Amino acid sequence: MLLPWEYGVRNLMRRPLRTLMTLFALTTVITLVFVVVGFLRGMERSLSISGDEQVAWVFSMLAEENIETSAIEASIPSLLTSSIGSTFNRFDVDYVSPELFLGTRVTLPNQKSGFGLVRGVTVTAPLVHRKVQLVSGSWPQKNEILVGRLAGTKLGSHDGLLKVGDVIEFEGASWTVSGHFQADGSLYEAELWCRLEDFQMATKRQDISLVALQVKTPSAMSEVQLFCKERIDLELTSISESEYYAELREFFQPLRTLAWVVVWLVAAAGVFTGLNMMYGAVAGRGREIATLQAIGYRRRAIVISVLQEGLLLAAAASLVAGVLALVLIDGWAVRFTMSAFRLRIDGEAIVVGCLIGLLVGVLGAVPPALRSLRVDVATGLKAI
Amino acid sequence: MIWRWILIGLVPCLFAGCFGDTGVREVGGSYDPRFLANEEPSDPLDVQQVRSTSKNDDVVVVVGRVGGSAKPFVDGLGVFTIVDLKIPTCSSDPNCSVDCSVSPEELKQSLATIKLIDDSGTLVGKDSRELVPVQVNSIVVVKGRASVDTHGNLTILAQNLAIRNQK
Repeated sequence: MLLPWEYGVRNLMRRPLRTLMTLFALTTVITLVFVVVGFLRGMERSLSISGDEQVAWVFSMLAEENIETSAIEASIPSLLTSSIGSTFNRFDVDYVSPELFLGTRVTLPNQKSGFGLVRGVTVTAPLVHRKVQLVSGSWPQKNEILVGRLAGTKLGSHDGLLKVGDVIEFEGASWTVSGHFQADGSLYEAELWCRLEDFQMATKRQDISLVALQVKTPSAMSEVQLFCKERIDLELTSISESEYYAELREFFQPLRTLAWVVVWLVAAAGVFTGLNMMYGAVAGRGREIATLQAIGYRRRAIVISVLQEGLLLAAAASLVAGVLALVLIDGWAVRFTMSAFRLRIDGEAIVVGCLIGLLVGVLGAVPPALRSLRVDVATGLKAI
Repeated sequence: MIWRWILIGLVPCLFAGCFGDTGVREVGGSYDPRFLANEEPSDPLDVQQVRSTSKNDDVVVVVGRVGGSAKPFVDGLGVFTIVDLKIPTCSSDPNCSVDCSVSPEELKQSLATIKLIDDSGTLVGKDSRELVPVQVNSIVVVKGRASVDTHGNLTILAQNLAIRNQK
């Protein structure tokens, strides 16, 4: 026979201050778990959504996949268009985007400066980068700039800083914000886009960093690779956009592992909080537990009741932390090496966070529950 | 009692390392024998020699090492690049085919593209690594028809090849 459900609930209410303090501590721990899991989910999503398997990047073989250091001739896009039959084409427009990509110091309207990612593009860029959508303002004209949704965060400021009409400075020129774009949460959202010729003029360069081109089918990517292998003189290499970001995900694997280590360390802190509280709760109840055994309740029933207390507290803390995470943490923009992304508290993050919370509750309650049964009934009944 | 559990826990350690990818591509699997020469073609020339002497449609025999870039194979096609044997490899990384000290200009003069073609002369639409047991840094001897474009790029169209350092 098990102890009544209300028995465990009432036990929690017997020491309301201690219960509240433990609830607060557990909520803090689980919220921290949510922050790390949200970071992981946000990074994972932004990297996985950034790649398009029908888009190939052609850049310098010498750059070793570091697009910023790549420099190729400006005539390469037309050469690619004429040589690769599987380039996507609609209404006589080839989906080929020549781009100049640089990380550079940007001075903001408030005279603060930050490290920004600037991409010089032509009007074909939104055709190739299909996720990019203009959400306000207009396409940049001479010395104008289109601002990604997370560019403000990347620049070390907040997202709402760069408004249409604001003037920023980089590469020795002034640029007026013409509009804003979003890209479904991909890494492009941390960038500033301007006209290729303006950016070439500002940087005093005539070359470009890469050519992004859309092919008709993912299997046509081989044709692009073949072109690069045959034209050894051009020193080109190619990679599909999805492959590039998959490799980037691989690159960040140690960071993900480290983040999970943090999750478990934080969870361990929660276990000790639970242990402390439950040991305290059980220590003063030796006589009560012995009485329960004397009137016929089995040891198993008492253990389950103590576990129930720990679980109830952990479940309540998980719920509070879940709500806090959804309201406060979800959508937080964070700067991250060469980009920025938003923390993401999705279904998976909620499940992981709550399960860790419940696990903390169980692990924190098991040792005190077992300890409470070590004392035999006769000694327990005499306990003060 | 506790020693029994420790011993049980240690049993999986005996099998550690018996599973998983060893990083070495196995040879002798389901490769296409048509593309593997029965014997190595005689008197092969270095890639640099072939580049400087051959003309379009010459039949050439060239020896080189698979490599020249981080990814020398074209995915899904019977195409890969080879580099002259004189070009040093990295001592630290077995998957690196060209040492960083090699200048881009020197590297360009030491590269050739190998295209595997079938009997009808069509490029094979299957990855080279599935056709023959090659990997980065395999030394291959290829007999085929040279194709030299106006920019001096050398492509060799071959129906088969021989692999020297087959593991």
